[in-house]
Amino acid sequence: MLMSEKITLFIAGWILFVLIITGDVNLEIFFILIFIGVLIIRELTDVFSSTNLKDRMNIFIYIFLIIFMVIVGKKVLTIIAV
Amino acid sequence: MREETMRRDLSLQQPHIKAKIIGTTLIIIGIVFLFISSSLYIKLGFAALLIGFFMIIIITEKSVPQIISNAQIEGNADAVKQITKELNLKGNVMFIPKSDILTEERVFIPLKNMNVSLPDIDNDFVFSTGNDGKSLGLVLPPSGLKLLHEVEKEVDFEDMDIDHIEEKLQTFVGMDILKSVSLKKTQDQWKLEVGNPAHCTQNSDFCKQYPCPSCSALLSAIAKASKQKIQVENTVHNGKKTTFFFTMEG
Repeated sequence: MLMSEKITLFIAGWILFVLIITGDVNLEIFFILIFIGVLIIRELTDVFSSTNLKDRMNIFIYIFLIIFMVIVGKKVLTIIAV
Repeated sequence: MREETMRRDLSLQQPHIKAKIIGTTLIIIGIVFLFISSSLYIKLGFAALLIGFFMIIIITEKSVPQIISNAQIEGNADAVKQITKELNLKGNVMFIPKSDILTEERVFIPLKNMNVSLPDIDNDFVFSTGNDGKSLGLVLPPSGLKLLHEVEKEVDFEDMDIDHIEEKLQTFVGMDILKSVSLKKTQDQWKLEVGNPAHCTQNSDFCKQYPCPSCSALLSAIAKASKQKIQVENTVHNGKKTTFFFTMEG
């Protein structure tokens, strides 16, 4: 099995796990937990990954980072409003 | 018509094509789920979308069936095997690092293991006809030299501390050339354990003289990093792993 396939399999497994454990909890926690998982997998596979694979994983990290910033921004606005 | 069907079947077996088909299906399912106004379906939709995008973006490598790549390698290995047999070379291989007169790594296959005296090797040096009888042998580029150049696009092995080589060698695992690799010092020898190297001939005698490209690239990388000659002492195959025992000389 290729390294990229293993990584995708781990991430897919993690997404399904998060889907099960979050249950009825809101989408924000669902996305943040996936983001944490992607960061951990990216870090743990760093030595074994090619530059190309790392770059492709970084695309997701940047997207999730933007989503994370939006979530944090929304929370801050809610707290300020209160 | 039959050829076209065969080509289509082969391309469908490629991991990146399979990933694209499954990924696209998941994205479509994800989009459909997002339109169902239930929190569970929305979550399922996002999960399907994410897995789909991961599959399409991360799995992109094309692969050649192992039987075909092995066949390409075996031709070269057989040629070297024939030459060493005809020249009656019985010694174990020595990996020689770059020097002032040598711009790339080379391997030296001596006539016999005892009393080997290494000749001055430059880029054009092939047959060592040493008159003293100690430096008789054959100098060739390692079978894994080109592979090492490819790996070096990812990681640099030049001027590295010997203790950090093992970590850098893991790049070979990441590039799916090997299943695993470990380098340990045991008393007066070094032990390089390689898990499932691609194109392994599983022939210990030949591995001692002209290792397969994967193992050869590893040994060349170690020679390059340590700037020392590597004398292979023994090799052991146990089905899943190939182990090299070697010594280093300055």
